[in-house]
Amino acid sequence: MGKVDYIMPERSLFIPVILGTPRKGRNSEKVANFVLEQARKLKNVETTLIDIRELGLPTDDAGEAIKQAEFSNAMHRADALILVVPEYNHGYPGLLKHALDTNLKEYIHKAVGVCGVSAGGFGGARVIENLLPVLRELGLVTIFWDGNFSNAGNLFDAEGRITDPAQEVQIGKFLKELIWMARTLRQGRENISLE
Amino acid sequence: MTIESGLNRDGMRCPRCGSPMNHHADKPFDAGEGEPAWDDSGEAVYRVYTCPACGESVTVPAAESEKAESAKRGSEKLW
Repeated sequence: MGKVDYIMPERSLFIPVILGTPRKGRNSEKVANFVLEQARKLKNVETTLIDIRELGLPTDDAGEAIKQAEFSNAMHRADALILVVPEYNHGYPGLLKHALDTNLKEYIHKAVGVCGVSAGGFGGARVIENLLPVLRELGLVTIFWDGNFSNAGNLFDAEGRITDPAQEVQIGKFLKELIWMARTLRQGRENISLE
Repeated sequence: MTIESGLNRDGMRCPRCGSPMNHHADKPFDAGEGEPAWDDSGEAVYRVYTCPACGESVTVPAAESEKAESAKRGSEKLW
């Protein structure tokens, strides 16, 4: 069996941050901006914020039938996703599921990390657990680090800066794991055959 | 990066750069109402390919891929 050499500089990873709630006054927006800012500090990583409120998805149909081109293109291009998800009644926002369901093949063998946001003290742990089987079925590969943002109403100052420095440490570990998984899965998608 | 050529790529070529693509996933999905069900369980499968040269990915319904391969072999039998 012959060998083929592909010598190239490593392409940047594209890792969009998805803000997973349309609710007015959402604290998750501050968390998403914080995570986005941390991701932007990383070398060889491109990122952008995708706000599901802005997708303008219809609600008289669902699934791939209402695919939105710009969102679909971003998912197609992505190497990994960061979901910022508030916990509402122990579950995820319905509009997030509605948005995620508009794509399928775009997600396959790509990494995903979840940042849970809660008004109380559990850092969105329950919504993260609830979301994992959905992400798995979509073809995404979850990482074992999460972002946990408890007491979200008190986590940021008036200028939107995070007040707990420990969050930067935690999200740094989360991003390192996500990038490792994204790089590994890219290598797998491109070079490791299913057969 | 060095990779083995001759991995199972099903002859799929990258639509962006023309390189042979890697077949890395068969993803089942529920065929919706009005969509063809491609096996006895009603489950359809996407074949997913990614290009090692430029990273482009392509997804093809397995049924179409089977038909193409079958046609290439000159066989009437699809399954």
